[in-house]
Amino acid sequence: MNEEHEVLEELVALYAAGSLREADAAKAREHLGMCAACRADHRELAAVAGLIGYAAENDAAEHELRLTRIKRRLLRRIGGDAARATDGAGTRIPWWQQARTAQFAFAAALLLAFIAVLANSTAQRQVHHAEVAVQFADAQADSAALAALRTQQQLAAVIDPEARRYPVPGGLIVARGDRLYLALTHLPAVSKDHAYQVWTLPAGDKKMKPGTTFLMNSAGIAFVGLPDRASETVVVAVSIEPRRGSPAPTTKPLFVAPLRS
Amino acid sequence: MEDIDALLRLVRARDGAAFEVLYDRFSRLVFGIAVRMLGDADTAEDVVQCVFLKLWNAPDSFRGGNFAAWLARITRNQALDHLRRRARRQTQELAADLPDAEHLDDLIASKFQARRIRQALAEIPDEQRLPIELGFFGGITHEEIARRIATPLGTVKTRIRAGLQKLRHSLRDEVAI
Repeated sequence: MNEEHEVLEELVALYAAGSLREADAAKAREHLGMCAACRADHRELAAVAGLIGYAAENDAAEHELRLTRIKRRLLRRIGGDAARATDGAGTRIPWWQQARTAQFAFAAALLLAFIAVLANSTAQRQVHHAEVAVQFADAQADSAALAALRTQQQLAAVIDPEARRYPVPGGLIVARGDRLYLALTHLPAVSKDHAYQVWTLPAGDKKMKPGTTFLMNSAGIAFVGLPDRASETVVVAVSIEPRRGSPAPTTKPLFVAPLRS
Repeated sequence: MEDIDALLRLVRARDGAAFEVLYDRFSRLVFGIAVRMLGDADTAEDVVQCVFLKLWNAPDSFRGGNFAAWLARITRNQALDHLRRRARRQTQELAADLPDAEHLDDLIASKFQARRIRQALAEIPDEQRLPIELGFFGGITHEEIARRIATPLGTVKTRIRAGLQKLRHSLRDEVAI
């Protein structure tokens, strides 16, 4: 191997790592087009570089609700496509109906134009109020649907025969797949300034990590989905803390449950 | 890998449920990369949406290999576009997109869980991991990395290369290639 080739090998490695400016990346590509050995090296290094993203996967743990919201938005967006795909070729509208539809559309457009001409500021205000009302209703529906979805997921976890269950005073910790849930009842009452707070110990760590706070519902039950991965969590604990949560436990935990035997 | 292939076949047939399974499995990876690169959860949200819409609209753009690594690459490239738009208002030069990889990751992914990959990353010496992660998540060139960590350019190049080779070696120990 000559010195020039060694320089190119280094360039190829930097290209695989994605840290070259475009002009140097073009040089690396040109060399890869001519050198089979470097092509093989690059193929492996680039594959490894793509996996570096896993270093950040845990950064998403505190954004579970956001991810659920994105999912709902995506599913709504693709919903039409998916439905059209199941329709096959779709339903053909006969030409006379198309014509009727066109006539109706034309008449509707005329009517709308007429209304627009007559519109005054009062009407505009009404439209604005209507839009706000629709947005508000949509937000309420979103929030209700999200709550329903979460409850369904939590219930599914509790009744899933495949889920692993860890009894704790006042209920269960449930591990379903890589998700963790708390299903609790009969916890000691808390004052209005306090809440229950979850603590988790990630594998390999020595310090408990502060988690979400929660309250019992009016029936005295709490279902809580934890953002932590079951496979990477070795201990779950719950304590009573100030309502907004605490960075470190301030009371003796209600329970401390190891998740592995 | 086989179940990913089956899910992708279903996505190509416009199966929303299969798409949802892929989202559940990989959205944390995609969001994690985006939020670390951009430092802003709202823009990261846009990136997640773009990446998964790309998956839905053009599932054939994944041409085999490790699906997670492919998603990571397109996420990184998408986030890099955002960083480039920001940088236009500044003067910083950003790195080129991550190149397409082929099939080593095919072998890796079928055997490895995310945890094992993170463990392999953690085993790289800090002095090598830091410039690699700065390049990946910061989307910056090795010249810029050298400037930021106040290290000679030649040393940075050597460390990036050595770190990637070590990572490859570490993953290879577990997988027969």
